[in-house]
Amino acid sequence: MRKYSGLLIVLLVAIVIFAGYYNSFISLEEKIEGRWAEIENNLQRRADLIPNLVATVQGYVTHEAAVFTEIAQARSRLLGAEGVAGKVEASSALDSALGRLLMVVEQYPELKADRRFAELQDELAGTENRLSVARLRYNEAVTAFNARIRRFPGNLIAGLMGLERKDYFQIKEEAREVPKVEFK
Amino acid sequence: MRSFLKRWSGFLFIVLLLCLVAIVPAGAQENYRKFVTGYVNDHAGLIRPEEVRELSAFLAAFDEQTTNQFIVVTLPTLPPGESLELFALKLAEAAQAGTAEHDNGLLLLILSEERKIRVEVGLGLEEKITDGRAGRVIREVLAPAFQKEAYYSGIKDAVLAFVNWVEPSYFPEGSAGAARRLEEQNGAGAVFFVVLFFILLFISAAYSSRHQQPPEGGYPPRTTGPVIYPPPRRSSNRSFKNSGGGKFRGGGGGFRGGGASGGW
Repeated sequence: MRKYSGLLIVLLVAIVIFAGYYNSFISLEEKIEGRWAEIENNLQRRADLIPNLVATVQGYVTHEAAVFTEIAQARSRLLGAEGVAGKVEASSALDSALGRLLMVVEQYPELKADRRFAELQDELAGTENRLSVARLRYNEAVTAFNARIRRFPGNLIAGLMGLERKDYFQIKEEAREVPKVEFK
Repeated sequence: MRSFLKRWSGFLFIVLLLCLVAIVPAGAQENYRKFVTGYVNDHAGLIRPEEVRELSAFLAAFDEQTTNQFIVVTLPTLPPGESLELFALKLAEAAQAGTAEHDNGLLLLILSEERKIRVEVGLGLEEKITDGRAGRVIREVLAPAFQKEAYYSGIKDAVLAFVNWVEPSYFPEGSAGAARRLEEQNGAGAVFFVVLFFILLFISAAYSSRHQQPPEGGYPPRTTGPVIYPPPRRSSNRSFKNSGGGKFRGGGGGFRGGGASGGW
């Protein structure tokens, strides 16, 4: 008995450590999933808002057909996109299309004075803000997860569990720039 | 065996502790919490002390009776390196306005030197105070009043509009019609009724926060005073920690960035 007790203790400690890491990996993964769902909700909400916004703008703006087509295409691409990378890509395409639309709107003072339009813009801005908050929280969760699965001894256990690093939701640099519009 | 356990138990304990520490994140919310000590926190000095007390008493009474926690914060400028939206979110989260169950908190943040406004709406109120409505209050209530430097009347009318959207039955029938008119148009007639109604309401709020000391297990029957609130719905087992002085204690409400931003 005495001969094996040392071994037993070591085994017990190993199990406790393993269980601790295992559980924390699971809860971190759950957290990431939950926060990703929040991002998807907001992407969906934005996609739902766009037809209303476009319809309101079209009441005033009749000449800018190209912008409307671009938005419609970007929107359907976003709705069809899958995975983190795909959604990030489609979402930044929609961002720049929307940016162009809002540039067009600048040329129409009576549209800017429209109450319905002002409120739709608030809704859109609110959704964008929620989206950036959701993105921030998602990335925080990913950072926590990635750091934990790469540090010793978590990396050994993560390797056993077959866990891999998760992707961040990153905005591309060009999407942040204000798009340029030329009026002919 | 026993001696082994004794020798290792310290180590085991440390391992367990480490597991725990790794899971519990360290919070750095104190930096933001210091801005929110009461319901109305006028760090920019936009309104008079008696107005602060009046509005605080009203908001404390509204909290007691409906559990909705609305707070107002004014600052001259944003702390360095902060953006309006993110700062408002962190402030609201640190204050934990609203209950954990309903997430029914709201933060009105006003930056006097930057002339910026942010309405941060709790998760549970987003359906009632949509981003569009929050934006409308900024554009049509707050901004026009602030341009005339009528800060208190602007803030009051905005709070009234929010209260009316969240708890339509909080106002008695008749006056509620006047309050609701804000929703459709912000005409002079509506403003008159709203101001008139507000005077009544604040007298009543000040009155009730001074005189109401409810006994264990419920409210006394309402017999005296200009009581214009509806009977409380969820407040039977709610403590009255916030009554009187207007000291604010958040209930654990969550935020996710809903609301609107604007300026004047």
